[in-house]
Amino acid sequence: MNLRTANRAVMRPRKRLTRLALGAVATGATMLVLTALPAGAATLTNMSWSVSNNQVSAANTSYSYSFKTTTAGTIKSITFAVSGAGLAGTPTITRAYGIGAGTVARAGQTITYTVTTAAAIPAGIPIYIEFGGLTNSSTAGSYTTTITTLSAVPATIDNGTTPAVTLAANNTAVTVNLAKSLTFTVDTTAFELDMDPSLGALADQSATVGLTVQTNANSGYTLAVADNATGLQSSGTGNPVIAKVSTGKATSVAWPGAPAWGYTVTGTGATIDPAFSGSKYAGYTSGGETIATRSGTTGGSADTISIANRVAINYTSASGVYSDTITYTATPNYN
Amino acid sequence: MVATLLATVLAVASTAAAGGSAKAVGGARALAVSVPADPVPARAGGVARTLIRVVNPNDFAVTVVIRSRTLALGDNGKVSIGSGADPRWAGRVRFPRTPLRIPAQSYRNVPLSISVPHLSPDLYFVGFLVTPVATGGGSLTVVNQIGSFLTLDVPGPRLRLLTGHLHLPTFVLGSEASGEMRVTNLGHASVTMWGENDTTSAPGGAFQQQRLGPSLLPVGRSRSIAVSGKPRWPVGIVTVTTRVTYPGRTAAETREIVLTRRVIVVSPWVLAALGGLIVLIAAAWWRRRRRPSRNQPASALDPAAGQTA
Repeated sequence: MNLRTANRAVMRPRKRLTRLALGAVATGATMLVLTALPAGAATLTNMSWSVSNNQVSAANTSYSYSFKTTTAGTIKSITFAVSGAGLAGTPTITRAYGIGAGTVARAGQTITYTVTTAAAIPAGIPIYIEFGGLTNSSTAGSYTTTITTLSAVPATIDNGTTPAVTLAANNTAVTVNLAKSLTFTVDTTAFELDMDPSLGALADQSATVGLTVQTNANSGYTLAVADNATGLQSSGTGNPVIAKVSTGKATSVAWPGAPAWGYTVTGTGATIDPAFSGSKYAGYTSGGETIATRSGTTGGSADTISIANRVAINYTSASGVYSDTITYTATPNYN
Repeated sequence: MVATLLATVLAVASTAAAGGSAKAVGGARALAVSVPADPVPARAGGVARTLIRVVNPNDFAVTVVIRSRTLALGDNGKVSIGSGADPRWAGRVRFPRTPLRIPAQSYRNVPLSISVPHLSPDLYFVGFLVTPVATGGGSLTVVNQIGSFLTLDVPGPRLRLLTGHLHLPTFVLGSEASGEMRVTNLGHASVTMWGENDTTSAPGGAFQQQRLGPSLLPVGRSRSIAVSGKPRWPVGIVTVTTRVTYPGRTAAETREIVLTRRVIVVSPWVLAALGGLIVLIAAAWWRRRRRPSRNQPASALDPAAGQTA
C-alpha cells in the first residue's frame, strides 16, 4: 500500500506536467489558427452597394460598389456574389478606382473583376468599382452582395457583405435609355395680348406660360430665360418699345404700372430665384438670366414653372403691333 | 403682342366683352435631349465617336437646329450655356448643318465625330444647344430650347488634388447639428469623387451613414454637401465624420480626405427644464426663508402672546 501510495505521489506531478504540456500545445495551436485566420477572413470595411435602377428585371442597370481593404495583399481578382437568383446581363466596367485596370465577367450570381496586372494593395485603400450592362433579378426583395478580394492562388484576402438593396416591382424610379436625359415642355409657343389704353382691364394684361422640366441628372438642371435684344418693339415708325420694368432680375420691383413689360416666376419642385419673391417683376435680358434651378434629379414628377408675362400700357404708348421672342433654356447640371 | 392698335379697337372691344384675356395662338411643345452620362473615351489626336438623341414626344413633327455653344461650369454642378460657338471645338465637331425634322412621337439619334486635339489627360466638355424652330403666328413667340454637353475623357495620369472643409458649430442649442462639407478641386484636372458621411452620438446614439455617390468636380470648382447628426438624448455629443475618396494620379490609386467634428447638442427643452428647476429651487428656498423657524419660541414671533403670559 505504501509503495502504491508512493508511486501515486510520484505520478501526480508527471500527470500535471503532461496536462500542462498538452494545454500549452492546444493553446499554441489555437493561437496559430487564430493568427493564421485574418489572412483569409478579415472583413472589408466601409462597404456599400447601390443600383442605378431598383426596378425588377430592369436592363442596363449599373451596380456601384465601394469598400476599403483591411489586409495588405496582391489582389488578382474581386468577386461580387449577389444573393438570390436571376442576375443577368453582360457586365461592363464603367469605373474602377483604387485598383488596376481589368476585365469583368459574370457567371450566375457572381460578377468577377480580374485585374490585368495584379499589384500589391496596402491595407485601408478605398476601392470603387461600377459595373454597367446588368439586368436585375425578376424577383422583388432584399439583396446583398458578398465581396471577396482574392490573390492569384486564389486565396481570400478580405471579404464582407454589403448592406441590402431592395428591388421593387413598382416604384417611381426613373427609367432611362441614355443615362442623362432632360425633357422640357412649354404649354404655349406663341400668344397675343389685344390691348387698349382706354379700358383698365385691357390696358394691363398678363399671359402665363407654363413650363415643365424633368431630368435624371443627379445634380438637377438650370433654367434660364432671355429675349430679343430689341425687347418688346413695334415695327412702326421709330420702332417704339414698351419699357422693361427693370434691367434684369437683380433690380426686380413690385409692378410699377404703365407703361411696362416684365415677368414674374412661380413654381413647384424647382428653386425659384429669390428675385421673384413677393410677386416682384423683372425685365427680360438679351444675355439671359437664370430663373430657376434644381440640385437633384426630378424623379418621376416633372417640375412646373409658371412665368407670368405682364404688359401695361397707357396713352404714352404708341399704337402698333409689338413683338418679342422669349427663349427658355433648360440645361442639365453636371453630376 | 398687339398693343394699342387703333385699327383693332372694335376687335379689342369685343375681346373685352369676352374677358380680355391673353390669346394663345401656338400650342404646347415638348422636347427632350439625351446624352451619354459617362465620359466618352477620347484619345488625344484621335477621333471620338458618340451620339446625342433628340426626342419629340409631341403628336406633331418638330424641326430642331443643333449648334455648338460655350459652357460655363460653376460650383455645385451648375452649368450655363453661352451665346456663341465654343472656339475650342470649332471645326472639330460637326453638328448637323441643316435643321432636323423629327416625326411625331419619335426620335433622332445624331451621330457625332469629334476630332480630339492634342490635349493633356483630363475631362473635356463639348456644349451644344438644341433649338426648336419657332412656329405659331403670335407676335410674342416662346421658344423652349435645351442646352446640353458631352464629356470626353482623354486618358492618362493627371494631377488631382481635393481639399475639404467641414463647417459645423461646436455647440448647438437645438435638436440636431447641421452644417456643410465643402470640397474644392485645387488640382489641374477634373475629379470624380465619392464618399460617405458617418454620424455617431454619445451617449447611446446609433450609427448613421449617408452615402455620397460619384460626382464630378471640375478644376477650381467646389461642391457643398449638407451634413447633419442628431443625438439620441436631449443632450449629446454628435460626431460627424466625412470621408471623400477620389482617384490619385491614376485611376488605380485612390486618395481620401477624412474630416471629423464633434458637436455638443443641447435641446432647448433641457434649458427650459433646467430653468424650471432653478425657479422651483429658488421658490422653495424663498418659502423656507419666510416660514417661521420651529426652534424659535412663540414669544419671539408674537410679542403680544408674550405679554399675555
